[in-house]
Amino acid sequence: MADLRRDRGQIILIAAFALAITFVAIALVVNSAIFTENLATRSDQSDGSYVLQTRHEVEQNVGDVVEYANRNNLSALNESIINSVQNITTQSGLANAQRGRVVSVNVTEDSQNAGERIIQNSSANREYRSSSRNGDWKLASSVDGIRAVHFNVTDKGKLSTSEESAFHFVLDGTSRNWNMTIYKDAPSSDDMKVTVTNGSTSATCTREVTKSFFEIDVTRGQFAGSPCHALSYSNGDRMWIDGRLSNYEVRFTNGSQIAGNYSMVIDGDSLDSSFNSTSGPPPHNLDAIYGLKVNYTFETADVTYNTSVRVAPGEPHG
Amino acid sequence: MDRGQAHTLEAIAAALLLVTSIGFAIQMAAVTPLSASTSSQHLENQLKASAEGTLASSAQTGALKEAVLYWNLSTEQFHGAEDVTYYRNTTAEPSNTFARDLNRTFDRRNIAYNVYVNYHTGDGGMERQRMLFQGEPSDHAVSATHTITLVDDDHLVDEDGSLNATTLREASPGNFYIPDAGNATSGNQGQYNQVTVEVVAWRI
Repeated sequence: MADLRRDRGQIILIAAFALAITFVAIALVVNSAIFTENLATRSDQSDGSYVLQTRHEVEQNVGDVVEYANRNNLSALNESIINSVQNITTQSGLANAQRGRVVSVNVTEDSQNAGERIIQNSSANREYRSSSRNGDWKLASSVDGIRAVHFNVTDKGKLSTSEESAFHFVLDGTSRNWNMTIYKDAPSSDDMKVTVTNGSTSATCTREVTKSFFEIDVTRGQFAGSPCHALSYSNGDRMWIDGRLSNYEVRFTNGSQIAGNYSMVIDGDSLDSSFNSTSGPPPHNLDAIYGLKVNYTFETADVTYNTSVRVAPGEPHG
Repeated sequence: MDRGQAHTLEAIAAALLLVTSIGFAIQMAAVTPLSASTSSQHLENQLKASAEGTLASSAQTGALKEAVLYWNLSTEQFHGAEDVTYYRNTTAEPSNTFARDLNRTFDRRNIAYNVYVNYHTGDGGMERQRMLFQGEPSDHAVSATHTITLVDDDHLVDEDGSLNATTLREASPGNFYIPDAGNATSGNQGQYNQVTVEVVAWRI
């Protein structure tokens, strides 16, 4: 009897010991599962995503200063851009150095690609006519690149209600055409329409515009402040011009059916003589930088990346 | 008599064993999706990706720059901020597109976030201005950044989102929180400052 009672005390101790071991074992199993999950979901440690993100930011930042220089018609375009890019190098170098990365951006004068900025900037609801007041006119010929195409329609009452007789913006290539039409639904309607025809496919966007004006940023694919499928992709078909369109004429048709301002930058300086014939009144043209290449270097302890980045803000990617 | 003492001692030893093993087990594991441990790495990755995506899309549409320039020159604070220069609670949220984007991305998922603007002072230093402050981040917060360039003829933005007539070049130094860090010696060359917008987000 006495022996049995002594055993019982030991059984409690042994049971506790067994339980303790079980708890620790369970904790080990659970923890190793957690560690496995952690390892599996750990992000790429090689800074690869930062390389590309920074590259994208460099492209945008240099693009901003190029647009500034073009917009302000600076007399020393090239030096201005070189100076600004130097500032960008200094400042992004400093900001990245705090995160343990070295970023360097530089540009040379001969990497800059001259262009021409075509602009109508009048406050008087001027129609999209040429300086000699033709409604159907050619802006430039033998163009291989166009970017930052922006229309500001300041008087929506002027728009035609029929697609055929409305304003057309045409890029007329040797084998393909690209055509954008701006019109409205009905004489008193607020529904504005943009129809784009690229080769044989066409698409239309409709936006209700309650103000008297609206903007179309063609190369960003924005119509009245929101993305428009007719300027990007429609049913899987690319609607903006691409590499298949080359050596084209830039033309306006029915420029009397629209009023407001516009601007665009073309590659080269092949402006049409009719455009350039009258000096003074809008529209006019200014020397501009179409695009440039910057040399971009990114270094961390693990990664060294060096490439040349082409900057042409608002250029559709072909 | 000594049997009773032995029982007591054995019981105490057993109790100690149980309590310490339970305590040890709890210390070892015990991870919930909300706890600040390495096991919620997956959630942190997702949160970081959301923040980066929001920043990148806002930068692409121009909403990010608009938010940086959403500044009231006369009161020297962000439009509609109460008492301090920045937004610090949900009653004084900026009514611009970037703030709405952040709100749609995070608020319904119970995620708190701070937004900071890091800018250059022009003498080689960097300063940080709070834009939106919801509290001190917890230790499992993630951070995402995006860099944009301001140029001299960027306009400040009015409270209703339209452009203010004042450009950065014309704004008197000191009234706008970001100084001109462009190289002044070469004159009118455009670059004003390169600012890094940082979003710090964490689950609550």
